[in-house]
Amino acid sequence: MQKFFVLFIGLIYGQVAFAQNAVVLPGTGLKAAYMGTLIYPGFKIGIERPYKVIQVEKEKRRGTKIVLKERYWTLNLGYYSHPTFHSHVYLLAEWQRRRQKSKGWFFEFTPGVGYSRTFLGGATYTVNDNGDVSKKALAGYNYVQFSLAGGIGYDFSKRLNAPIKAYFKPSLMILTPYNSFIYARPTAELGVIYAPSFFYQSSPKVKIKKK
Amino acid sequence: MHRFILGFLMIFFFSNCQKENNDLVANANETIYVESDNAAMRVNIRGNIASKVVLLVVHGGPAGAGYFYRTDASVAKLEKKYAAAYWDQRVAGASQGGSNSATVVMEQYGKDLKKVIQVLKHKYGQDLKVFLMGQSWGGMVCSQFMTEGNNQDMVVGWIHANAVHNWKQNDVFSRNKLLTFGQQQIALGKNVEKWTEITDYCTANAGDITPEISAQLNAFSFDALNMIDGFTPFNEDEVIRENLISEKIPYTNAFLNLVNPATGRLISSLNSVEFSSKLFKVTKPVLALSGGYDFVVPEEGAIDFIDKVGSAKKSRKLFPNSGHNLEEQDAYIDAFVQFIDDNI
Repeated sequence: MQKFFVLFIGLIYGQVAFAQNAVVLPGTGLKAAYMGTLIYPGFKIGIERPYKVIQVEKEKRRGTKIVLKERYWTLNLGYYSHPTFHSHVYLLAEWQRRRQKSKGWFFEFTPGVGYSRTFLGGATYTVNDNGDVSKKALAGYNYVQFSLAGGIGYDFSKRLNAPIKAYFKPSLMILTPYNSFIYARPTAELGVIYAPSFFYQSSPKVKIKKK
Repeated sequence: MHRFILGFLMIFFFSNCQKENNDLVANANETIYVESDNAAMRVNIRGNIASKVVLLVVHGGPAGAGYFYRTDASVAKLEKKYAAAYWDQRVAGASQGGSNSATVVMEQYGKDLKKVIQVLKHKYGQDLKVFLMGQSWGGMVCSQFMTEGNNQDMVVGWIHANAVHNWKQNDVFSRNKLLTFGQQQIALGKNVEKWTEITDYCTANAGDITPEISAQLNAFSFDALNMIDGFTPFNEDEVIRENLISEKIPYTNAFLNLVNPATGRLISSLNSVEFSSKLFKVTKPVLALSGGYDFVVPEEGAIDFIDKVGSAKKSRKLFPNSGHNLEEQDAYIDAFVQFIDDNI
């Protein structure tokens, strides 16, 4: 009986211990953010899909500390308006590294590449060789866009059991070939990520590292 | 819910679509773009366009910006009476474009200026009276335009303010002025170390002027402006700071245009560009202005300009307490307005 009791306790303890170390996989998330520069407003919407999660377990005096290194692919649609200069629509694919702490905070780094289309911020005219002036509708340019972003956020599912994350992410977007060179624009995103369990379920590759 | 989202998106997408106004009003504030050979050049029309008279500002640089010229004096004096069109040239200011480095050449700037005038006349009427005001590098652009075909028939008059029309000749004038003024300052014991560096450089490079020497002389000329007792050079950064929000200045755009490699290549190519030999073609009224402390474009350039133009109506004025960037703003703007008054 005593042996059975010890075995039972051992099993329970083992399950708890295993539960502590179990990987809580991130899901596919829908993102929506205010994205702007200074006083010029914009937005960014998109989807993030994890493809790899590395669970790093560190033994501490108080127990095991778990940090998730999550890797995502994201696809985003963005827009901002800078009156008298241009408005800008873009489609951006990003590779996202996120370091998720067990208490909910996360940090991320996100390089991206995409397609950009600007629309000039005023009526645009062209003049032909005969000197005839005409107005051009939807004048603007197509560019390749690169972006580099890094930010901080909080995963509310860790405390409130809500599949919502909030984040703040400054970024630098670069358009090229812009006047045969580059155009760089610092921006900042303030957004939320909603990742309900029923939505477009993902099965990222999981790896566990113990330190 | 989906209506709300659609409405939200519509507000965002169309918040940038400004209604164009071609009305002849006394307080115009219109921004248009003129597209030319893969560059979209911003033109901001301000002030009293009801007068049907516009001063087209051709900025310096290359790769300066029209923003720098809309000063308090310009708003209070020029724009009250006439309109001003602040044009950002290709690869300058708020201008945008694609792969256009091959078009960043002297001839193209004359073509672009012609298109800007054609668009202004299309917008406000063929009877719109256009005056040109080219400052510094803007003098080269105006010279290119005014000496080409019948272009000058499109304008009423031309102000050449602290402006260049002969790149290499100007470098020689600049070197001479730095040397003469520097020697005087050394004799007076003022900023001896820096002036010695400048005068030694001028003496050591007394021969032919290469693009590298030209660039160094230009840098020394701006250094010199900061070494004159009681003189404060025009602060372009301050203009940007004060107007960043109100004028919606795309700061990084203007900065990256300034450091665009195409601009550097253009400057290097200007060593062989001169209009002294072509200015005889110009018959429209001209006014040449100079700053007494202008080492970048010394007064001798304005003397050569007035000597060479074929205009019957031509005059010249020196502002003794100005440097390169029209520091005596009220006096310069008064001179602009007076020139327009006299030739309208």
